[in-house]
Amino acid sequence: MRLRAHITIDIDAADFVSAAEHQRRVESILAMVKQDYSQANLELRERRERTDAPSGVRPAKPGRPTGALNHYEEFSLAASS
Amino acid sequence: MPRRRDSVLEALEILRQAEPAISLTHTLAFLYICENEGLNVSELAEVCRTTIATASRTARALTAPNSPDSLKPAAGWVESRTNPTDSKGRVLYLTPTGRNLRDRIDIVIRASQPIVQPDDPGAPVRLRRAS
Repeated sequence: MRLRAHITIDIDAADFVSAAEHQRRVESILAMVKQDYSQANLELRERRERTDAPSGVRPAKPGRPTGALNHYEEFSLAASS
Repeated sequence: MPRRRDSVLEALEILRQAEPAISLTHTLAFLYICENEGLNVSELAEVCRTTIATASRTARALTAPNSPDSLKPAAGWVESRTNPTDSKGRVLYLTPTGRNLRDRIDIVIRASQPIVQPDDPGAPVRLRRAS
């Protein structure tokens, strides 16, 4: 049986100096891991800042309407009681 | 004494019984297609508040396994037809299986079984039976 273990650490570093310090600390942790798992590897990379409007949830472009779609009104508790 | 499931739960159980791999996204799309037969994928995306790509994948997952471009779980509840007013477009309709499911769910909704029963200890006062 083959297994792969990922240890994920998300870091918010103030600047490159702080990032380098974090890198050293993570590398020291890796050294401890390597005592038990000699083939362990470290991949450290910069992540891009998330934008305010993620592309995955952009609204659908209006297509040519079929006329089959009903107009929906939102349910209101106040109106139903 | 056993109780009946509320209408929403019963409807979801009917769908799950028909296709165990069905998700909430599939369920929403199916129910919107039930209420809007003949809509296109763009309109499905609009009501489901998702992208056209996601709506397309969801609709394809609701078609039958032998349909072109079908995706798992291929529930077989929906079919894609050429839009009669736009030969390049496709519109979504229920299959006989989908229509049968819709009718069963409609019966459950008409039975209007609430979540909170009058005898439940936590029932709001307005629902409690006078003793």
